[in-house]
Amino acid sequence: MNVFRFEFKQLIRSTLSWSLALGLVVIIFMSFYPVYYEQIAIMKPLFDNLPELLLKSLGVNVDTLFTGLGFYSFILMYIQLIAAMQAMMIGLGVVGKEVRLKMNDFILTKPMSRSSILIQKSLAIFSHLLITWIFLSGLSWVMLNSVETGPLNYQVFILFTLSTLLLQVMFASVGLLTAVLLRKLKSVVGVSMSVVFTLFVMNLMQAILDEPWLRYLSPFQWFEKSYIFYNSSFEWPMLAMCALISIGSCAGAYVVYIRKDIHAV
Amino acid sequence: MAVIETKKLTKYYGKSRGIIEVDLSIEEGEIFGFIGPNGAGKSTTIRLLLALIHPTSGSATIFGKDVITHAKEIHQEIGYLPSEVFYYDNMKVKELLNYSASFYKKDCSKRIKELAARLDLDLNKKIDDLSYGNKKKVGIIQGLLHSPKLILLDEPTSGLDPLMQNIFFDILAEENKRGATVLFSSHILSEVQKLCDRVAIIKDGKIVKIDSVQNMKEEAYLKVGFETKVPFDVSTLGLGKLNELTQNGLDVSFIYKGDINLLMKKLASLDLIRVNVHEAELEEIFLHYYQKEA
Repeated sequence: MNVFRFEFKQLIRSTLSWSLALGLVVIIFMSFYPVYYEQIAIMKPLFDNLPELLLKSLGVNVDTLFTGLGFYSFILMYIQLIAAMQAMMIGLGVVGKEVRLKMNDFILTKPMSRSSILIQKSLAIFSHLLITWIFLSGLSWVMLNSVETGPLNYQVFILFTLSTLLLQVMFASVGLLTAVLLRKLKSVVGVSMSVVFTLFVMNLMQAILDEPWLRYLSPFQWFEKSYIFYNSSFEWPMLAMCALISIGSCAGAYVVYIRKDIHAV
Repeated sequence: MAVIETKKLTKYYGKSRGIIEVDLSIEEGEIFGFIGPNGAGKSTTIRLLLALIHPTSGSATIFGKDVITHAKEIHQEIGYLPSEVFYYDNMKVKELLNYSASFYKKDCSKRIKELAARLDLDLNKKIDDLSYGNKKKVGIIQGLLHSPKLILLDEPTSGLDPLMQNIFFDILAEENKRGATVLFSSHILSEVQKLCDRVAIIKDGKIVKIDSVQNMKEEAYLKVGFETKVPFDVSTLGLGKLNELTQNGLDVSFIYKGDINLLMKKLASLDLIRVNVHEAELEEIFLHYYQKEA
């Protein structure tokens, strides 16, 4: 497990920074909630008068916004954007490290099978995602409990946080596949940003255009917050889509990595 | 026993040629040189042996095991030094070497210290701060720290100063004495000549000759130069076809391969002012192979 240990150690700093960023978003936004809730009489009509399109593209649902969980679901969009960015970057970064640094000759001439190298790297990636996620969920739970005025719907809360984890896993898997397909990798941030932001824009497009097929192209819409809020459940086709892409990307990455020719640099 | 054996080993990159039907057999304990210009297929062959790339056809074995299917076991006993070395960001030499050592089932810490002292390398420095030559030393230690049975070197000396090159060659010679087999690719013939027992010459992806360094030199490749008192026609000498024949007025020079006694008799029949006969350098022999088919 030396590759796992090595990669795990190398990721500690990055996980600390991402957790800090996510933690700040949760703490800052959630501490706004009590102030905002007190002004419900003024705020509600204000929101009701805003154009629906604007609200939709911001991910705001006026009916649920004045509950702690509803408010959390609004900031969840941004939490998930940050979490997806983290996942894509470490998926791409850890597996693409040898591509970026031209070090495939180093690691692939060691007495370790290619599958073992990839599995250990993936384990390091997913354990760091899990650590970030546990921290994020724990903190969210504490913050929600401290601001929620009524009873907290735990099932919905768990589904909300699970959706973040599922998105992280999917983006990490896509990052992994991208890393093994590339022959050159200059900037992990550049590639990750372009993929994540394109998909995030798809999400906004979908909100505006309301084309049902567009939803399949925008992962940030797969776990629609108001659906989860009212049904206490995921939409199964979208969950299946997420699982399919995650598993497909990992399997694809594995097959390619084991067979690919490593060319001289 | 052959440590490395390839049978009709062929690699195409799409349509472009890598190597074509390379047959090699390298015995245990040999220092084997692999020479040819850039693009001839030296690196391709070494990368195939390391399972970094997969053959289009043919096969290769190391220690009697298939290089692709038994890569993991084989790599336990291989040390590899690529022509260009690269390293992870932000790491100390020590950390990189320890990570490298962690892949092998033995304690390499003593050997790392020995080699670092030998090559005069500070293990506590950051790799990013090292000069190219010092990074290359990290590569050398990285390739040798587990005392491998087979050492593969792909143009290893670029970037090393002559003093370090000598130390490096000494280390290789010691490793060889200890029992390690060495495959050494280069386009610099003098280093191959200095170190190797046998050489293979590769041209356009095909092996054109495999022979011992000694044989290649002994096969009476002679560089002959002389000056006569009166002009004469070289073709009347009766020495057969002469390579690299140049005749400049009374000055004649050529490379001769054949019976040395015949050469002396023929030369004795001439009215000479000056004569110079010496063993051709590998360099000259090599050029001869390359020009033959050009």
